[in-house]
Amino acid sequence: MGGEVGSVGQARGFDEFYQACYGRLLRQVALVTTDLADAEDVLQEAFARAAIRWRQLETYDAPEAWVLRVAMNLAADTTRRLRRRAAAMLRLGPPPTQPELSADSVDLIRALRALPLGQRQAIVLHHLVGLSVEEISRQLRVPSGTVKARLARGRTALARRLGTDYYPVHRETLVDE
Amino acid sequence: MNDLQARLDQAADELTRAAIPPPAVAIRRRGRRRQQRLVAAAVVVVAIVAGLWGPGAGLFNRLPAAPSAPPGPATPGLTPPPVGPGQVAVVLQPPTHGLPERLLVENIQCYTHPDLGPGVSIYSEATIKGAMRPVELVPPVPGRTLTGPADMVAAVEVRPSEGNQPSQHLIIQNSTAQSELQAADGSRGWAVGPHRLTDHNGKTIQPPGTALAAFSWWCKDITQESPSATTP
Repeated sequence: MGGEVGSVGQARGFDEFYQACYGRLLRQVALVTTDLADAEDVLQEAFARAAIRWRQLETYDAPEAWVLRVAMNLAADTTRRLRRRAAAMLRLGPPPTQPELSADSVDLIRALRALPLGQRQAIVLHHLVGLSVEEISRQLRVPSGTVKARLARGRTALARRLGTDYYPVHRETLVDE
Repeated sequence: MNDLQARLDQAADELTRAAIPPPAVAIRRRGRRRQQRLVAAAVVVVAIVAGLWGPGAGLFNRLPAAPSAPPGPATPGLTPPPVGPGQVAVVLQPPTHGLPERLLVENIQCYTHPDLGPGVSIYSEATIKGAMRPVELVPPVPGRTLTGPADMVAAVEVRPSEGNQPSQHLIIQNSTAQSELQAADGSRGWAVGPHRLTDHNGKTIQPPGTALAAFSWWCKDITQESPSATTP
């Protein structure tokens, strides 16, 4: 546990990283959790973990990917999510009203929410973040075949719910679906 | 144009529009707190495993405790117990096999050699938690200070007999300050223990911290009340 942000320079480095990535990552995580408060909590926890091992992380090529992976794992932890919600309810009372969404977004988020978490993660990482199947496979630590299957099923389910057809962003990576 | 990508973009924008990122310093602080919690949890786990409390505590009792403190400098006002012919004065030091200091030690049996006197080697056992275990007996030297709350001072008057027979066993009959030592052959003595000390009114003095006072009082008692203590 010796990798915590120590010097002023390291603190500044972490702060810059955090400010540069937070908004972008929050968008990605929010679509996976489909709940802003959950997404914020998950992402802040992931950043807090990054802060205590920043000395090591700052040497990585893409520390952002590390934070995203941790956030995705945390989002997948349903027990933790329930506990978090209960704690938040006790602390803050009922959850704040969600931001006003357009009808399209409401439909999409409802449809996303109906997907299993794995499919939701794959859809967001592929269609929003723009990661390839291989990159998603590494990110989520699942075989690429699984990623492809999740993407295909997720897209089918979304299309059925939203009444339209969706195609992969990186068609070339999905030719063997 | 990928419609899904556009819709996800829009939904993400709308969903996170109201989000206000907390300051980075708050995130770092949260990380530190998390780290402290982890360290604390690790310490608790280690403590439990090591047996500081919980079911592992028994493991510690089997380990030898730190040796008792050596005799210290003279304490003003304290006199070593008088010792006459046929009498041995001993200090029972804290047992050295890992017993808590406040453990009640009772039913001490002293096995003595026929050549009794100051400095004579004495083997003794005590019933501690229902089991007989050896305890140390150290003849006091002039000016010696009691070394701790588990010290016990015993003046043992023993009438030497032939051989190392059971008749030489001395048994502390009770564990008050004026414990009486009664040998099987009728010889008697007194002992003072920091375990359940009583004052002159019979009021219990709780150890630790009272051993020195008890020691002084015992010296007075032994000289005033025990005829054999002043035997030349």
